[in-house]
Amino acid sequence: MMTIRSFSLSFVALGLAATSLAQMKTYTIVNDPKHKLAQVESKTAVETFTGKSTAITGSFSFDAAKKVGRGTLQLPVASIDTGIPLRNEHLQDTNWLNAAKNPNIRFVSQGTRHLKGDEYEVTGNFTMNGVTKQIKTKAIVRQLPASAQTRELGFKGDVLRVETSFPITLKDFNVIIKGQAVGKVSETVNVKISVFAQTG
Amino acid sequence: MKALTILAWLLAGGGLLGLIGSWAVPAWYRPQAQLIQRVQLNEAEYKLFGTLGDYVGSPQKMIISDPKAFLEGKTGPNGSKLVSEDYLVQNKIYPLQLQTIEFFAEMVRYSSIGAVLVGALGIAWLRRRRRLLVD
Repeated sequence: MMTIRSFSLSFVALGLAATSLAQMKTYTIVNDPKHKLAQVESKTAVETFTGKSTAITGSFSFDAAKKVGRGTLQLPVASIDTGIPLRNEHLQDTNWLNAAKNPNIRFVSQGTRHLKGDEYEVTGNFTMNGVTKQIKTKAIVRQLPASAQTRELGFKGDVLRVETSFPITLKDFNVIIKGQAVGKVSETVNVKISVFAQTG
Repeated sequence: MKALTILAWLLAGGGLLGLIGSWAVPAWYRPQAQLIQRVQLNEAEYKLFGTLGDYVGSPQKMIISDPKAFLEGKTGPNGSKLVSEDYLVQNKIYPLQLQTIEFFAEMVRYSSIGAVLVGALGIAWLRRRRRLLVD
């Protein structure tokens, strides 16, 4: 009798686990430049400039019912375009982001907490210039099940829209502003990421 | 002595011109500057969520003379006018920022004030010296 009960409970537990796994879906960032944008904004008295890249890649695991998830993002330093070719070159220099040694900027989330509506608090490790720091930020995560409309727009499977922005202090990542760049690049820059991801 | 006098007058005169320019140039550009928010249009975002696309950077005062860059009838944060980022990139438009004009005008202003002061002091000193030599 006891064995049957244990078996039944195990079966139910397995069923629940399977349901839970089924709800946690993996979304990959859509490989289309118009559906993804990473940007960094520097504001000084001289000028405000924005570096942009559509070469961001990565994936998310998201459970829309339980409102939990995690994700990994990666951005090649060489893909950041500030609008001025010479400035792009400087950005990749050894004094700056050292693209030759550290070709990618990475963000790996470690935990999420649902705040309200589509808003989440995300904690994760941000790696730039070979230095990893833990950051905490807010993200807007919107999930849409596959539909005729999403298919018409070229998406495969369910769709996830993720938007986040957070400040980064450059010296925390061993990026020291010196020489001619003093006053032209802000000590703290704002990173903004917005991507579409899909299950298909 | 004559060369020094000319130099002093040039410094004072040049400084005065610089001073006028440092007020005139920003005053010329200021009325043309508008609070602008660049936006990268995204059809999917518009159709799925009703928003135009991704805001690129934050709103700032810029001078954009090409009317085709503006998304008419649409406003962004703080009442900013929306401008198509794709249009700017395609047409290689790197908008002039009012803050940059103001910054350099301020640099010119301080340098000009310095030049006027040095030039005027030089002229005064040279005149006094000439008077002493005559006496």
